[in-house]
Amino acid sequence: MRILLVEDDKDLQLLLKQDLEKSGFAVDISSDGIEAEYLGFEGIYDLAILDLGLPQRNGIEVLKSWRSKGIALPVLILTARDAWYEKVDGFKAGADDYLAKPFHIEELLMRIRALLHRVNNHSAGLLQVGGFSLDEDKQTVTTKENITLELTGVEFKLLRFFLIHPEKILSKSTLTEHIYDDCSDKDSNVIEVYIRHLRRKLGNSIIETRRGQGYIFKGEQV
Amino acid sequence: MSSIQIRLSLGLFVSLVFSFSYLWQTTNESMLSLSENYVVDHLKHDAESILTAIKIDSTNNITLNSKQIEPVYSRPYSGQYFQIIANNSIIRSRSLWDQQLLIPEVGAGEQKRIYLQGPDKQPLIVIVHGFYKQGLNYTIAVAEDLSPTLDSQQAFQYRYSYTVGILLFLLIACQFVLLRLNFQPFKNIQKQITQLRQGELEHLDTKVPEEAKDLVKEINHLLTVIENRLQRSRNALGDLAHSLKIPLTVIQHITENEALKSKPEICQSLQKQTNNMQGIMQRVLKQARFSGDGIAISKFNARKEVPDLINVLQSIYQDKGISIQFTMNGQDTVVIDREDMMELMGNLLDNACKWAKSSIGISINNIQDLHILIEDDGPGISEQIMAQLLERGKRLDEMKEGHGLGLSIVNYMVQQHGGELKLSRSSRLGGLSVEIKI
Repeated sequence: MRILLVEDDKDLQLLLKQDLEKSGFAVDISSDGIEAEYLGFEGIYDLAILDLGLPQRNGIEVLKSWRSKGIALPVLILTARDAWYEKVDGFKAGADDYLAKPFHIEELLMRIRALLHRVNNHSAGLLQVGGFSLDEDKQTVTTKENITLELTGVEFKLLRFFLIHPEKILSKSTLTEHIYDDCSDKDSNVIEVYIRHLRRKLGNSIIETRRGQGYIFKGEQV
Repeated sequence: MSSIQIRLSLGLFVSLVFSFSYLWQTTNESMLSLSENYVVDHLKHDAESILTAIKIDSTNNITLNSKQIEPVYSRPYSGQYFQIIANNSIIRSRSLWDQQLLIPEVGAGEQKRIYLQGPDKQPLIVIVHGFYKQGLNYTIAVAEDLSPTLDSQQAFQYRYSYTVGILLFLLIACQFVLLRLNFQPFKNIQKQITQLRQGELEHLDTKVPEEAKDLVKEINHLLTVIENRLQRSRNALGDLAHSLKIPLTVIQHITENEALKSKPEICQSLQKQTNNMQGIMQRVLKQARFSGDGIAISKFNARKEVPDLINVLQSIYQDKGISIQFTMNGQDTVVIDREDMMELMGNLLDNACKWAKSSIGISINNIQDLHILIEDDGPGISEQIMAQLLERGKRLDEMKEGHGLGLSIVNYMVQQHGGELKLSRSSRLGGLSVEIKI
């Protein structure tokens, strides 16, 4: 899952990026409204965390511009402006959630997970697909046989993306895009390695390969 | 009496009535004396011809040469009479017939004007002259019936009063209309100020007479100043909040840093203090943000904005799947500042959503007073805490965190607007019921 973090305070940027990465998100940072607006149009993000008081173009305008051009990117507004009329204006502009600063990182992570589940038609709580149940907090997966397995960072990222988009063909480049941020060294062949790891841990049949197209998550065969 | 219009109309009314009465009185009197003087002149003339008609023989007997006297004095009760007193004898005109006039004797050269009732009850004006002729003193009284004069005088008076009355009435009516017309702009200003207070207007109309122009301009200017000041202080507070909250967020995150895990007591006290700071900041900022019971800058359209708020809350509490029912009676627009009302409704609904199990009821009655009722089906709060929350004069920052904060902010706001907040157990839904009257 790749997040666009739009925030102009350098310290907060860094802290948030660290915390989000620890939770298995790829994070790109943007410090001003114009750049953020442009990045939103790229269509590679699964979610945006948007501050309202931004230099050059304020967050509400950025959000309105995205929505007017049909960008459905889930947006969580993270701002110090916590008056109710500001919340109403934020939602009216097309926000999906709103969190006021100062906040606890657990609260933010919970909201992000809930929002990602919601927009991808999953229920709240653990991510349960095809006999697997993913604990996004602990980064572990539990099988139908009630065996809990630890996952490495990239394995977790990859599995989460598969679970959120089950039964869909996901190309190598799509997977790369949503798992690594801009600064990472992207080698799509690495994906193959990690898919092999996942198959070894969870069973060969859970991920099918479609030659020339990509991969499909099938879950455990009943 | 402080109304200029009433004072002016009363003053004008009194002075008009007074001057017209004076005019009426003097005109009548001068008309009467003018016609009387005319009669008197005529009588004097007659007296002189009577004097020349008097003949005295050697035995001092007095006779009159009737040819020298106007025939009207010979016709009985003609209205013209004379009577001569000389040498203890009285000579009367034939017109007097058997009547005698009661007149005083006057010395030679004297003249008196008296009024008597004559024959046929005629009102007479009598001129009595004293003469001295051929060694004898005469008193000659010449009288004329005044009733024709009085009749015409009365006819004149009647016509005159009628004309004056109509004129007076017209003038008073004119004044009344003029005053009303000229005071209309002030009445309009009064009306607009009421509308302003009720938030139906944002500024006063500047199409007013010169005299009121400066006043209206000044009021408009002050309105803009207040509006700008409120906007500025709100913006300043927003900026302050923005700039304080970020460092606070950063500090809060630092307390969760791995490196500090080995010193839990430092972590705890840091966390406690930052939490305190956060609480104080939030309360003070919210308190300062309220515009209070002033002129509403932008009104709150309940029928439009409450559903917006409901949408927001349903997005925030999506996972709880709460159903929110909203009923609205009366006028759509609430004359309280939009931001204040949003804060009030937002806090109450947020509380309700936090505690409700599945449903919330909102009812707004905006007929004369504003009446808001918000109920939920949550656990509610104990009566002891209810009393604590609503204790008068209790400052917001003394309130405890939790359920109370939102409610105490709302209570503070309701008090600022001179309203009343009542907490009870909802009889319909079983949870907390918050009732507000403003």
